[in-house]
This record gives sequence, C-alpha cells and structure tokens, in this order.
Amino acid sequence: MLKLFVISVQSALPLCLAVSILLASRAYSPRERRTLARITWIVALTGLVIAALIAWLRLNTTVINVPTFNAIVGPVMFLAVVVFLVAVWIFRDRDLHDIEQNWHHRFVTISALAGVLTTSIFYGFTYFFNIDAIVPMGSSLAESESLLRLAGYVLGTVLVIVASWGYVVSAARVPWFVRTAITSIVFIAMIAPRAILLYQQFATRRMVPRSKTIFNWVLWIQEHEATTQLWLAILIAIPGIVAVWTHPRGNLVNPAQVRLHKAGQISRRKFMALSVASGVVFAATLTEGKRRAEYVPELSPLEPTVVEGDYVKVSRELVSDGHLHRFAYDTSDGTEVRFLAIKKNEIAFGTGLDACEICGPSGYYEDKGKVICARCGVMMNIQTIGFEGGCNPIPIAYQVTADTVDFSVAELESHASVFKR
Amino acid sequence: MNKKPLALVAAIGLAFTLAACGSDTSTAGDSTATAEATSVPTKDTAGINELPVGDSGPQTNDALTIDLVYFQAVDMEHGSMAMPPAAESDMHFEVDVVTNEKATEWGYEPDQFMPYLDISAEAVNVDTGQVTDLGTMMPMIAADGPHYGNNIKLAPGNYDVIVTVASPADQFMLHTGKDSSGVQGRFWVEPLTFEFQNWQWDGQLI
Repeated sequence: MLKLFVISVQSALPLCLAVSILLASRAYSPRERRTLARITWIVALTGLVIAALIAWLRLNTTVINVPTFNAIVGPVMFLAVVVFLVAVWIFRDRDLHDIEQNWHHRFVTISALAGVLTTSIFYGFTYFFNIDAIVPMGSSLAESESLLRLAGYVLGTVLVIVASWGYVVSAARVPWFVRTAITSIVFIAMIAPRAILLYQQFATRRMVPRSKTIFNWVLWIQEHEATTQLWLAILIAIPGIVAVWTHPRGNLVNPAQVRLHKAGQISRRKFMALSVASGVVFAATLTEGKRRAEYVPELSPLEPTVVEGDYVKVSRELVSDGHLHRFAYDTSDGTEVRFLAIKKNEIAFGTGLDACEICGPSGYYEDKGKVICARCGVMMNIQTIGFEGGCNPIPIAYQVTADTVDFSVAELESHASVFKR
Repeated sequence: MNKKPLALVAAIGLAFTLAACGSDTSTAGDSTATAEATSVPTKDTAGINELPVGDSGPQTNDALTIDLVYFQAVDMEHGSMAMPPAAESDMHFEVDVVTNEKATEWGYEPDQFMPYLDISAEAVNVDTGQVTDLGTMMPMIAADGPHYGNNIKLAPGNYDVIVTVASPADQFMLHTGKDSSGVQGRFWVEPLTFEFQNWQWDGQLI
C-alpha cells in the first residue's frame, strides 16, 4: 500500500502541480467565470482522457511507441509552457478578473489552457500507466492485496489533488510576483529536467548525438527526482502561508465588510493549515515514506543445524511455525551452502536452496507472511516452494523424523557451485 | 558562447521532426551515432522498442555471436512459478545468442539459436566500479523467437556489461565415433565472455 501511495504521489504531483498552476493563472471577467470553467473542464478532461487512452493502448496493444509519443507531445508541451510563462510575465500585475479583458488577459488564459491540455496528456500518461502496477502479476483486483494497493494509489492522488486545490485558492490571494515567481520556478524545475531526459531518450535511440555531460545530468536528475518534487511541493504551499498576511487592508466601513473580512481571514487561516499539513505529508512521503516503500529487509540469521552421518538435521519444531527458516552447511571445499525450509501444511514442508536459477544465491526473506526473493522482489507462492522453475528456490529433498527435518549431505555438497558465483 | 543549450533545442526540434514522420531511425549529421546506428540498429518488435546495450554491437567469441538489447519490462510465465514481474522491474534484458560458422565443427548450423546454455551477466558501473550481478539469463520465447533474458533491476548509470556463457558440454552429447555421424570439433571448455561497453542506462523506459 505504501509503495503504491508513494508511486501515486510521485506520478500525480507533476500532473497536478502543472494543472493547478495553470488554473490559478487564468484570467476572466466575473461574467465569464462559468463559461471559462466549462471550457477548462472540457480541456482538462480531454487531455486526461487522451492520456488514459494512450496509456491503455500502450498496455494492451502494440500501437503506441512511447519514445514517439514523447517526441511528439513533449516538445509541444515545452512550447506551450514557454509561451505561458512569457504570457504570465507580460501580464505582470494586472488584475486577472478585470471587467474589461484585453489581449493580455486572453493571451494568458489561452496559453494556460493550452498548457493544461498538453501537460494533462504528457504527465497524465505516466500517471495512468502506473495504475497498471496496482494489481500484482497473477493476481486480480478483487484480492485484498490489490485492494490495499488501490487504496494507496487513490490516497496518494487525493493528497496531491487537495494540496493542488489549496494552491489554486491561495494563489489568488497573494501578490502577483509571489504567484509568478512560484509559477516560473516550478515550471522551469519541471520542464528543464524533462527536456534533458527527453534528449537522452533520443540519444539512446541514436537520433541525436550522445553526450557524456548530458548523461551525467540525467543521472543527477534521476537521483534527485524525489528531492526536487519535495521542494516543488513545499513551494506550492507558500501561497497558503503568505496569504494570511496579504489580506486586503483599509477601513471597514460597515458590519458587512467586517464580517466579510473575518470570513476571509478564517478561510486564509484554514488554507494555511492545509498548506502546512500537505507540505508536511509530502515531506514525510517523499523522504521516510519512499525509504520505507523501497526498503528491502535484511535476510534473517542462519539457524542451527546438526550434521549426523549423511544428513544435516534441523529441528522439526523450529520449522513448523509457518515462517521461513534459513540454514547453512559448509561443504568439504569450504563453500557455505544455504538452504531454507518453511511449513506448507500439516504433512509437508517447502524446502530448497537459499538461491534460485535466475537470481543465484541472493537469498529469500519473509515479509508480512510472504517469501520474497531479495534480488528481484518476486513474491513466492509458498505452496510452490519445493518445485522447480521460475524464481523458486532450487528444490532439495528432505525427510521427516519425529523430531527433525533431514537434508542429504551429498545433495547439499552437489549444490556448492551455486554459491560460488 | 555556450553551445549546449542551442544544441539541446536543435536536437529536440530535430527529434520532433523525425518523430512526426513516424519513424525511429538514425539521422545524418552525426557520424559516430550514425555509424553505431548502422551497425547496431534498434528493432521494433510487437510495439516494443529494443535498444542496444552499449555501443559495442554484437560480439563474437568462439562459436557464438551475442547481442544484447533491452526494453521495458514485460510479464512472463513459467508454468505456475513466480517470475520477476514487470511492475517490479526496471527493464527486460535480452541476450540474443546465435551460432556462427565455427559451430559447424561440432555439427551445429550457423546462425541458429542455441538452447541449454547457462548464461549469466554482470554490469560494471564504470564511474563507481560497483559490480551488479544481473543473474542467470533464462531461456524464453517472445513474438520474435527464442532468446535468453530476464526482467532485471538496475540503477541508472554508465555501465560495461560482461556476459558469461558456460560450456554446454554437460548439456549436449556429441557424436564422437569414427563413423560419418561423428563430429570433429568439441565445445569450448572455459566459459566464454563477451563485453559490451559504454551502456548509458538512463532509467527511462515505460
């Protein structure tokens, strides 16, 4: 669940950041509000539907080539955003909601809507594509694991949407230079790395020259993606905080104005709380949350065995608790051959090497009742442990006595080469 | 004057133009890249864009010629056994193995896929020296035929990849009699290694 929550936040953040900033910058006269709202909904939904459709086609058909998609939509989006930033700086401190709208207003609104459309498609594709990770391979949406992962994805999305909504509301309450500075920083911080990543995609495909310098930038961008997103998320919380001190000042000449002023202040304080809270949650998600989501548990310690004659014996009581147990046997050439055992039912144990044909001797760990390969993260069906194939532990035979589960020394000796890699 | 920003803008514009033409081909104007693209073309298979691992191109050692490509991770099945799922992997890493003329010494057709090989790969980060074991490459069949490969996890970086192929002497019997069915040659003894250099793995695959 946490993993999908983090994936959702990281996927939805660029999309919602871009869209919310663009929404906050639309200019319209009071009487055009409904009309522009309808147009905005149509534009945003069109972009999202196109993105969802492309993601679906990519996942289910062979008609979508992602690099080609990026090559077409990416530059168009970059162009739309650059035009929008130019429009915003030309617009400067004019009132977004003047009764009389001139070309400055139209320019910023139309470029914002173009930005909404293109960013919805570009960033929406990644968001919708990642939905595919909700249902683990071989599982279905109806299973509890999938539902938990779905909940994580939805919660992450809701968090980002709420924070973005807070920005849209608060951005209208701060001085123009605060709004415009945040707009510019966020877009430059989002678009410039995207342009570099896109260049690398083309370079990888030999469409443009490869550059060691640009590739090093790519590595830096990849490494600092979560940190960059965290700073951007914190940045969009600033208007909510600043807005508390930027309320309209002047004499309040009648009780209605006083009530209006109080209501405005209460609202600003609420949005400040929302901004601070969302900033804290983003910080926790993109630092500790991400660390925990990507955490790979340590392998459990090896447990004691007794070598008697031709067998390595482990306590039957020990391995009958339904948990994974790891053991080791030192072969005649000094190789430590690790093996594992787990109770499958009242009469059978799953036994195998602590290694598989695919990943080698990387080992397995138990996490929340699942046995997982430490290298590739495959979740074992415990009932298939003891059978050959896939990422299953390489099976070894065992025999059960009243007190012990016994493994053949000769068989363990024969597997020494697996652990010499 | 710093030419990088201009080069970037020009390249994106160029790439956009190419993409708008609906192709994923090489361009003129960059001799190195063009030469690489000519010798190591990318392949579109079933909507998937296969990319070469490094710029070495196919490598030959003894009776085998090996090429490495990678693309977005794909779901696979192996009976009812668990396989590295696409959603948990960074890429699908593919080892294309074909025999060459030398294989005729032990009775094998050239330019054929060879089964029963034990192939492993490791990636060496040339900047840090860190070695990542990519595991055993498993035999599998895709829409374009059989190959070895697996879904793998690998952090972005600049890598050299070393592929090791053990001798198949324990997997195949050879006719060694003096009769006409006997073969003259023998399998290699020491594991064959193949090196693929300058792989800029940028972590970008969907």
